[in-house]
Amino acid sequence: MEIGTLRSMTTELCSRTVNSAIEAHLPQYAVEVADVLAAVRAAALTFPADLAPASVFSLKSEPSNK
Amino acid sequence: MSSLMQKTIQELAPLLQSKAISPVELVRECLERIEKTEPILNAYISVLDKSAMETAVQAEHEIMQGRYRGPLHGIPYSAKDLYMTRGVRTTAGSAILADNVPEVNAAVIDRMEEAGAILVGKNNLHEFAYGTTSENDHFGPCHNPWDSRMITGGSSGGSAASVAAGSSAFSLGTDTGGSIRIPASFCGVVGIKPTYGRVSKRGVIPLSWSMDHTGPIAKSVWDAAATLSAMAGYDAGDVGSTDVATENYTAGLVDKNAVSVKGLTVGICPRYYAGLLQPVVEKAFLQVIQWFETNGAVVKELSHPTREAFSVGSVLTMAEAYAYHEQNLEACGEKYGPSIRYRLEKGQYIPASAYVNAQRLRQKDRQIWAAIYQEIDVFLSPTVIMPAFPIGEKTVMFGDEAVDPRVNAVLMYLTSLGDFNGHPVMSLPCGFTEGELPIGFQIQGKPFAETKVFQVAYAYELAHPEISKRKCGLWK
Repeated sequence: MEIGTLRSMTTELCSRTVNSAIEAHLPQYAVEVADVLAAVRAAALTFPADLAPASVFSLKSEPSNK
Repeated sequence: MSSLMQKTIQELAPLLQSKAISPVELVRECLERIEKTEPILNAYISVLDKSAMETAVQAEHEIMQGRYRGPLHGIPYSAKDLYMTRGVRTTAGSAILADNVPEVNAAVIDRMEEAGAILVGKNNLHEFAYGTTSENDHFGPCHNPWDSRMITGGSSGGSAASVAAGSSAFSLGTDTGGSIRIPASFCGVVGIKPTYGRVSKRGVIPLSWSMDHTGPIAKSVWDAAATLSAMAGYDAGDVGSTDVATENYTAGLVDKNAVSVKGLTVGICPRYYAGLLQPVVEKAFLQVIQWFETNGAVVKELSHPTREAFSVGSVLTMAEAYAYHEQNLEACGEKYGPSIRYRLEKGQYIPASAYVNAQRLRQKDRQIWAAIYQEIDVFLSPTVIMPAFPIGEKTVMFGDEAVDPRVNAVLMYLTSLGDFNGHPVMSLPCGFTEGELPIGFQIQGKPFAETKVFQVAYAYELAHPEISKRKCGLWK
């Protein structure tokens, strides 16, 4: 992932300022975010089309074994 | 040295009910214990000595009048400083909220008041609960009661330390990736993260709305059951709350036939942590499995969970935590501790599609677990891949990789799965290192099957008094 892409995301997508704390960590973010996004993409390849997100967030319908 | 604060709630409640001891006497001992241990532990951000004594006098009066409310009446407790408390500073362990005095209580604090429990203070924690070491940049690190050079684990580190040291009888914690169970494991006490929706989160400062849970940390399984019984229940004011009937979990611990592992099918998944456990943890957990087998349980090896859920689940917390903190990061980012700020800022780079797909994976994961629970009763694992390590340690080993435990999720590798699937999970002690540091293991149950988790845990605890009755060095 390009550091410039992250910088643009901060300013243009998030309307934030690239302060010194963010700037210093952009190289690490570029690696770590790329890794985690790749993991999500790989997982998504296994999803059936009708798989909806978990409702936020009730487990009421599932059985218990009390 | 003998002290009332060494006793469990199970032991104290009959003494209070029968008027053999008074809440005033008990709270006074607790406050003395805080005064004695705080220079070592730093487990509290605020101590409420005046209001606690006033409440104790009221409780004494009620009990003397025959108006005993139940097992928490007159019991001194603490709450992680993430729970809002009316008129009492609630900092979340951050400089940003250093002067935050809420006008309302968290719902669970109100429930504790109704049960007659007495709040003695607000516990130190990892800043905004976003970390697992409880090395707080603003209020100082929490110190482990078993060895004050060591971390407590986190983020509910002050909570677990205070319970282990007897400076509270129980504490209210929160758990987003393991923040109740990790410190419970490191401090040798019991912690349960109940089913998502079982306990209200209203009035608890959020880290990640869809991953956050509230629950108790206590000295024993029975104490955790009594505390969760008072905490649990539907709350229309919490969007995540579920309207499922609550139970008195201690009632499920009376029948000796129910408090047994005989005939249970117990799932384990060694491939999930293969090559990651420190030998002392692996040995302790193998002994746990052997005990289950010896006592009539059938142990079934599973191929789930997978590392996929661990990687992808972090996307949810990153995105949700960033959303909550975005304005403060822009306005006063320098007030955050450096490691927290680093982790929070990363959340701005998570695209919406990744967030939604992570929630879809969560649904898939829950479906897989539902199928697995057709064949097992509970699922077991160690709580953390290693015991506590020294405060300030720069790196720890995660397999073959040296990682910084403040920014890497290494300590929550085994616990975050329970926040992802929302099932109830308890951590309880199962052994010690040669250096007297506690080791814990987890029992996970079906959604809303907390009673089963308590029964299995109680059976194990009763069979291992040499572990459950052991006291930390601060009592010597």
